[in-house]
Amino acid sequence: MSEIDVQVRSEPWGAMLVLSGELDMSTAPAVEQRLKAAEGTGAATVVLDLRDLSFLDSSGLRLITEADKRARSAGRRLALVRGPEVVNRVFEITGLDDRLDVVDDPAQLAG
Amino acid sequence: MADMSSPAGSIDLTEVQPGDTLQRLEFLAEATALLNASLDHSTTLASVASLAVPALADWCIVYMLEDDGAISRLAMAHVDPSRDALAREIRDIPMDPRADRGVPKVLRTGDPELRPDATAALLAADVREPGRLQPLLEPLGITSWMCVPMSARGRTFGAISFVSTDSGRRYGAADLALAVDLAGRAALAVDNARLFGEQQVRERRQHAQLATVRVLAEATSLPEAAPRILRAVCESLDWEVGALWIVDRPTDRLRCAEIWLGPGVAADEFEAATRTTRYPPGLGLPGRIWESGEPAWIEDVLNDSNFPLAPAAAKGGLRGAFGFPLKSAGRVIGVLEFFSRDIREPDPDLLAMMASVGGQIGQFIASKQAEEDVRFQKALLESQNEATIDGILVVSPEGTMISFNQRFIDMWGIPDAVADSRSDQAALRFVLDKLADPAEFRARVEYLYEHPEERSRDELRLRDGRVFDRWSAPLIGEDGTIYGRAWYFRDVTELKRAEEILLESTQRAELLAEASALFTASLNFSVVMRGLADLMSRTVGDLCIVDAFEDDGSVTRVAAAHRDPGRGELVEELKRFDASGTTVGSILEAVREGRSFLFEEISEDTLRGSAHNEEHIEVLRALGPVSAIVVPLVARGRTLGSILLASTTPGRTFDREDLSFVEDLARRAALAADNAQLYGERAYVARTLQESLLPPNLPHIPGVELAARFQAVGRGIEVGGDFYDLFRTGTNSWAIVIGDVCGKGVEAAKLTALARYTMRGAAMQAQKPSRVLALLNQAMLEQNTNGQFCTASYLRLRIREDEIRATLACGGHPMPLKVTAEGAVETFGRKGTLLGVFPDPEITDYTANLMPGDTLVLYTDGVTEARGPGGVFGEERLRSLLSECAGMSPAALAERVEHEVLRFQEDDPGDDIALLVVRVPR
Repeated sequence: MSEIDVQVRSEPWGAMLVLSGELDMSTAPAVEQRLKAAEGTGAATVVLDLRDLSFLDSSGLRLITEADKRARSAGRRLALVRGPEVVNRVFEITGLDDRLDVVDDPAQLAG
Repeated sequence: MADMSSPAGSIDLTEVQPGDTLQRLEFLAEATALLNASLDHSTTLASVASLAVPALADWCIVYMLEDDGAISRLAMAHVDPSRDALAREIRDIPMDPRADRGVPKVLRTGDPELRPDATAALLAADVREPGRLQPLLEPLGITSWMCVPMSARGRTFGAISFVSTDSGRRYGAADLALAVDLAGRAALAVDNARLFGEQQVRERRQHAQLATVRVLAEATSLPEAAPRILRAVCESLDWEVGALWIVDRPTDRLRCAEIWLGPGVAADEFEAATRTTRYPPGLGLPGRIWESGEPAWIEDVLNDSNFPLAPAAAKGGLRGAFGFPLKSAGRVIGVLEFFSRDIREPDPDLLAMMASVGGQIGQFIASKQAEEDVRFQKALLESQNEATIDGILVVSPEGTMISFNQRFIDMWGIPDAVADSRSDQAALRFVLDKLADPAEFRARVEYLYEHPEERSRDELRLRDGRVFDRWSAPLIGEDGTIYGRAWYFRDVTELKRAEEILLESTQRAELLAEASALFTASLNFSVVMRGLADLMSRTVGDLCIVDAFEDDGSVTRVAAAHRDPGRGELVEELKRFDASGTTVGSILEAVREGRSFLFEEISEDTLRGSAHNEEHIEVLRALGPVSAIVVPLVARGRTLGSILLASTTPGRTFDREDLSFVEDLARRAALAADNAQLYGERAYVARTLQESLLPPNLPHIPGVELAARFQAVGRGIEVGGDFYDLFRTGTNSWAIVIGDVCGKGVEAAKLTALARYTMRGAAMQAQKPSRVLALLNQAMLEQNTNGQFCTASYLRLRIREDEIRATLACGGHPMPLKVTAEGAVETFGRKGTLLGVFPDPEITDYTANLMPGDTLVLYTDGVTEARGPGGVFGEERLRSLLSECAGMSPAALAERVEHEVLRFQEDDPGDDIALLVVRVPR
């Protein structure tokens, strides 16, 4: 079974979720729960930090595209911190890197 | 011509006698006739020598001046044939062209020489080795000698020696004059023969040129002109094979447009090789002519280092070759090449002439291509007009047809008489006959006549099945005056049909998903079949009966269902009748062999043939089948049973499409049943879902080779979402799809079914791959798939005789890789957005021609994202693997890739692996 660790941090601009481990079918429900809780706090920006992810599959993508839809309809910003090559490649192939708000460094989020 | 009456002379060397003149004239006449009898100059000169002996000499020698200045003895005649051996010996001793005496001097000066008293020593003085010749001449007993030049048209090209030996004659002035006369005639004859020969060659070349020009003037197209040109040149110039090559711009290759073989030339292999070979610039005879723009000559193709077809040419006995470029505006647009069975020396004159012919043919080809372009443009324009212009009719307020277009006449098939009458009532009567609902139409027209200011738009259904969109509006002037009413009709039959197909596809996708779920619901064959019969009787037909074939040959009725539960009793009653011995029985026998049946319409006779007795017929009549389908349940080569599906709804008849859909369902059901027996429950569910969603067989696509590999993950019910599909979209057009839906199990299966059937439906509506994927994206958004998305690559292949055009659109899927014959690997396509998430995905079409030897590999991320102890498999590893696989058959290549990926994961795949390989054979 894959494992994932989710650290939620409060930032001046909103909430940051740092994910470490593998985001797949078995771990996505846990992440989704934490993510929805963070969204519920009324944060203007929610960020998923993918830098410590070692794997991401279509269940992970579905989690993110669904979060993106929710953010759009709620007028909230959803941003991603670009993950390692193995994770980032999935965004590139699916064309999601052009569609989602992806930054290389959390420092860019302050602006 | 020499003066026949002078000088006075005699054959007798010493005395002149009155009668001799006549004798001399006769001699000259005979000589002239003889000389003109042949056009071959060596034959002519041999006859001169034999003519002179013995009338004018005991020994006569004819000399010729060669092009290189050497002097040869072309003919010799001696009064005593036993001297022939001696003559041969003399011939071996070369003349000395520089000697300032004897024959060389005559040849050089053009003046005759007379030596009334000659000796062997004198005659031996003009050779390279006088010491060798003189002893040979001594025994002849030479007494007298004269030598005269052969000159014609200001040129001395030979000489004749007359030698007196045995007769002891002494030559005098009269003899010399006669000799000069004879030599002059001989010279003229020889020169004429030469000129005639040259003239003949020239005429044949001119003939070839004229024939070519005539063909070019008469022919209306290149395919018509090409064989005639090749034949004209070959026949006029004695070449045995001719080929025309045309530069194919899109591929930048020369391809053979025509090859002509002379009668008796057995070069089938060479012909076939020529027709299939494509030359790049520089390669082979055509390629080098294309590259240089100059004619080329090959004395012997077997000794040529740049002639790839030499082995085939050798088999056909072809040796010599030449070719020249066909040019237009200075550009080489084609090449003509010719072959002969003998080795031929280069002929610069021929090449020079053919260069000009090449220009003419080039112009012809260019102009025909231009005409073709114009014709194409014109046809395109006309077809566009035809397609875009609606049928238009304008009627005045008084009811006169003011104007209408041809499209209107054609759409309604209005006869000339009706059109010419201009009466709207006449046209209306005619139109009403064609409508499915004339009353409604008439009511609408009358309403609009009463309300001239109103606009209207509706749909008309014709009795022949066509559907017209009708739009009507008044023609109103600036001042508000109504001038009449315009009617626009547009034939929307095709559009309607496509919409219906799409609707049907969607319904079938749902049905398929429902059936798939059904197959996984139970391991019990009877339970599954009862569910299937129930489903089919509610959707595709009205009555569904499933029979199982037992191993002992008997038939067990497993399920029977009717859409109307009230008819259940009748269906039950059917069970009482045994089918054997009836039409139904024999059909069942054929079904047992794996055959399917479609009865589009069931007649009373059919019913009678299906029944045992009146009671049986009554039951069948009560059910009232109008159309039926019978298909076998076949799994892994074994027939498990049969499905009979009947429609009892008047007007609802089955067609081939229904048949293939039911066959498809039956195949899946049979597999499910068979899987249930073969596998444990968990594996059964997984396999059944997977197999129910992949095409059962790969269709054959002409001109390409195909292979698919699918490796499902083996973890119980965690069925992955990879899928692929291949189907025909037009006469020469095919779709190849690979994709990956997100989610697992039944959820994934439903989405896969939606994706496959939506694309099949969309492909009927839209040609462009990007459009098909956009329609799928739209369908997924509309179906509200609960956040599920999919990625897919859609490849369209257009197969033409001379090219295979591939267009690819990619929706967030790993892009296919192209492997060339040489092992180069490159990405094929452009990146696009995944489907089912955004209303405006970016999806673009990428088009390129596939060349012989090219292989396209479509795959899912189970290949590149495969994880093993060595990390991730990755695209780089796949690329270098594919590079090694260049030249492999698709099946071998797919198997190799799958094997490597599994090995990388130590045979424990974490995800599905799907591979589709398309290759253009070389």
